[in-house]
Amino acid sequence: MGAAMSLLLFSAAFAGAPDVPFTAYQLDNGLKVTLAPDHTVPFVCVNVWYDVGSKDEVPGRSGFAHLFEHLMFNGSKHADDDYFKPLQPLGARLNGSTTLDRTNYYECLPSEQLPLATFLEADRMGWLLDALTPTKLQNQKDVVRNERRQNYDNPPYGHAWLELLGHAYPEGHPYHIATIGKHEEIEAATLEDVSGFFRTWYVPNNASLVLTGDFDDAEARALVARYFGAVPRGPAAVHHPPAAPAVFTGEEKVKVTDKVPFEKVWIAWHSPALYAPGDAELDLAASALSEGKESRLYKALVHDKQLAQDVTAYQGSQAWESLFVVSATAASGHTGDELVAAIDTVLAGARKDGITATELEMGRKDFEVQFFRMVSTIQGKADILNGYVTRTGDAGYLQKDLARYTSTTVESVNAALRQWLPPDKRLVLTFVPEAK
Amino acid sequence: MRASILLLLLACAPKPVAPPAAPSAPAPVEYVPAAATPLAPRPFTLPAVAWGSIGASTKVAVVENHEVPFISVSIQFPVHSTSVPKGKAGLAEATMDMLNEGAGKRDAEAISAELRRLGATLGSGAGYDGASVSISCLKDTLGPTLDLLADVLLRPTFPAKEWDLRRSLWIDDLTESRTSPTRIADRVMAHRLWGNTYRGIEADEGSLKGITVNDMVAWHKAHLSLAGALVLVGGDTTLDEIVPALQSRLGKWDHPVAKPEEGPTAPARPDVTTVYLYDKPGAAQSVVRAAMYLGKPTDPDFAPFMLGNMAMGGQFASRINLNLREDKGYTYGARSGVSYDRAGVSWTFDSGIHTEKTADALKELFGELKQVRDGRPFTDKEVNDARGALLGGWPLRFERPDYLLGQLDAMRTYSLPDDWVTGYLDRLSRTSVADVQKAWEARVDAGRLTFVVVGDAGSIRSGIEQLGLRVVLVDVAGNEVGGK
Repeated sequence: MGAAMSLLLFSAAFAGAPDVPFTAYQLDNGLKVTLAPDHTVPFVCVNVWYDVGSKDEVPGRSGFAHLFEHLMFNGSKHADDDYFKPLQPLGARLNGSTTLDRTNYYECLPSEQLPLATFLEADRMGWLLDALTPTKLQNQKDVVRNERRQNYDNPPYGHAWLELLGHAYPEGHPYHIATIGKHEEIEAATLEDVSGFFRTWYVPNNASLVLTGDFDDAEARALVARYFGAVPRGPAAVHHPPAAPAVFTGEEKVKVTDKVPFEKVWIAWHSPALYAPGDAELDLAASALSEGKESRLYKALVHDKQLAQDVTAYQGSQAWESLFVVSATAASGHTGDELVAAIDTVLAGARKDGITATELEMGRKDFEVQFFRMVSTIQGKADILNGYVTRTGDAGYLQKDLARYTSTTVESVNAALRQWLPPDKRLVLTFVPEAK
Repeated sequence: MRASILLLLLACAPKPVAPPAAPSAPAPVEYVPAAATPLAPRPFTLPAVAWGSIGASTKVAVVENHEVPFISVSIQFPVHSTSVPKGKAGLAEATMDMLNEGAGKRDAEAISAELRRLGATLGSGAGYDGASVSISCLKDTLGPTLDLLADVLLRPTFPAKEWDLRRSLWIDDLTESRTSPTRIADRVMAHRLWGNTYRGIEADEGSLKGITVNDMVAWHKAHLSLAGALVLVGGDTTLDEIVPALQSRLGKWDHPVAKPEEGPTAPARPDVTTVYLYDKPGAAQSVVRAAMYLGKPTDPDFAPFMLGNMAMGGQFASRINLNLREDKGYTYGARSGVSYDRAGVSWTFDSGIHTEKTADALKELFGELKQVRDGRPFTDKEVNDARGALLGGWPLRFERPDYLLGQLDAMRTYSLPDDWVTGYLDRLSRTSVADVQKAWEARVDAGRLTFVVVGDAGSIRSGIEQLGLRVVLVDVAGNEVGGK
């Protein structure tokens, strides 16, 4: 039995910590398994994370990890049909997603159908390639390119994230190209790419399974053993993080002219990886800077000077290294340069005087509430646990994660702010409307 | 990254190492998965709703859930964004939005800071079908959060300076909305269906400039009070705990308010399907929408119609999505839906389609709509699958209190019968495939749809016209600009 732990780590300001009982074990083939019962409704979520994302793609094949994720829904050897077809009629919610760092799959469905969900998840983990055809591959290339058109090419500012990564990370860096990938590289994917990727990354020893919801422990273990236990272990998955984190040596300015209504800026700094020292501190610094109407950036840019329609600061935590981003959209009649100047004034003040204990308390509260929200559904709970297992190997990391926030001090937040957000080493990306 | 290629080669090496096969060794045993037989079903009980009242007779509904220490309280008012004087479009939204810009002794900044100290959120707004103010908080901060809620509801100050800012942000947002393809599509559709009534009414620069904080003070007084409101409470509390807490803070706030205006009447169906095309030169995709008003959710064939929609386009494995996405690859997804508003139920279609495949996709869509009436009627399997999807997925909606509380609000807003939630399973269960076919044929007429397409007219217009469809070019507000 794992850690339904009640470590009394928390300051009096805390209402408490979410209690997420779980059991964790590992199959002989290396698959990590976490069982976290929750009997609110007679549903169960089967949730698998593979420790592979677009960061693990080979040159010339951007977008591949995500394209591959799509193919995981088109059938496997012993269930060679669209995965939605048997699951949707049972009332299942299912999907998958791919990020720079990882790929996940889930189905939440009535408890009595746990055998089908474990069978299907295990079948595509073990026997996807037997059902792969050139037609399926071509179809999903078209679908994924349409996903890119819909979410990135068509909406105003849709290319901002792509530009941000492209300029923040040098060519060849695992985070240089956004997960959605480039049209021509998606189109270039071959069946050999699919089988190579599958054999390299889609092995039980590079995956983690979490079950949440209303299930019987013994029944669940037997099903996991029966279906996932049959999947052969693969070669160890070897990741290739950059030898050293990317750095800015000065201020890089990029201007993009596009079909957008207003100038908009993104200022980005390289920052500590997820869970690394400074990561939680920067989360809290971001809260002080832009959470709520009392925050420093909102007050200055939106309320007092009325230069911006919105402003937001966030620590975009990623497995290997992160970006801290401040972005703002210019109000009518104002420019990106004005926004940058105003942001700089606020940041200079924050560096000089530091954030206050009151600001820190409010930021901690934001995160306390967030933790409760994340575990309030079986789907959210499954993802948060799987994130912990995949990144830290510890399904009980929730309490340690919370402690990262409770143990920060005004001094540690201010030190992080001064260390990681220098005025002269950063990327300034500006989107400018096309001339009419 | 480069080393991955090496790994890949390794991974492609022959089978895992096995002992050298003796000449007579049997062939390796093929993995045959055991049948995935369902387990014993687990019981589901619909969460209970506890009813109480505050003020003179304002109903309070409580759905308990003690899994996490959150409590939400939402007050629903029977007033709409259209409940405003002529020429003041935006007044209801503005007033609701301004409630947290100053209340009691606090200004906007102090309200926001107090909420964050409490770990609480506060939201307020008005829309075409209602207006509401809601809070959510941790159990241990319920008292001070309700104090703040009472301030915002009873003692808003409507500072003129803050309205100047909100208005200018709103006007910038209108500008933004005219460059976003999906928002343009929404606006054009509302205008084509409703003209200058109900969902066709939208605030613009002119109406916003005419709105003053005095208008807000008057609107607040005329339309907001517990009289006629419904209070929805969910989470880690009980009726016995919440009613006195609400009564002591809001109980006296129940002065009479203006009667809600008559509900809108659904627009007449057009005589012929028309495609309203907004030209977005160079667009990578065409945003395609269609809509048609059908009737009322209380019509006896509503449940069968819902099942028909599931099979046609209401889920991933539906005719339309499997055709347009999984077979043809024209789109990232194509969905149809059933939505309701105060005018009734409408059937909708929504997709983003690769520019050069726009006409092809429309052809396939019309093909599906024709075939279901002619040669490929709904099958037993499709209807059973659709029913299974709706019934099977039902319990998960009750994991948090929000869904059930939302249904209580919908029942009142859309005048739905008392057994709307409790009779849902029964209504879907006793629907046959013949009922579904009949409902579909009676409701959806492919020849009388309203389409909106936002895309590159130069590339897609002639292809759409070649399908025999009437195409009308429109401006960003949905008004005709040329067209044949």
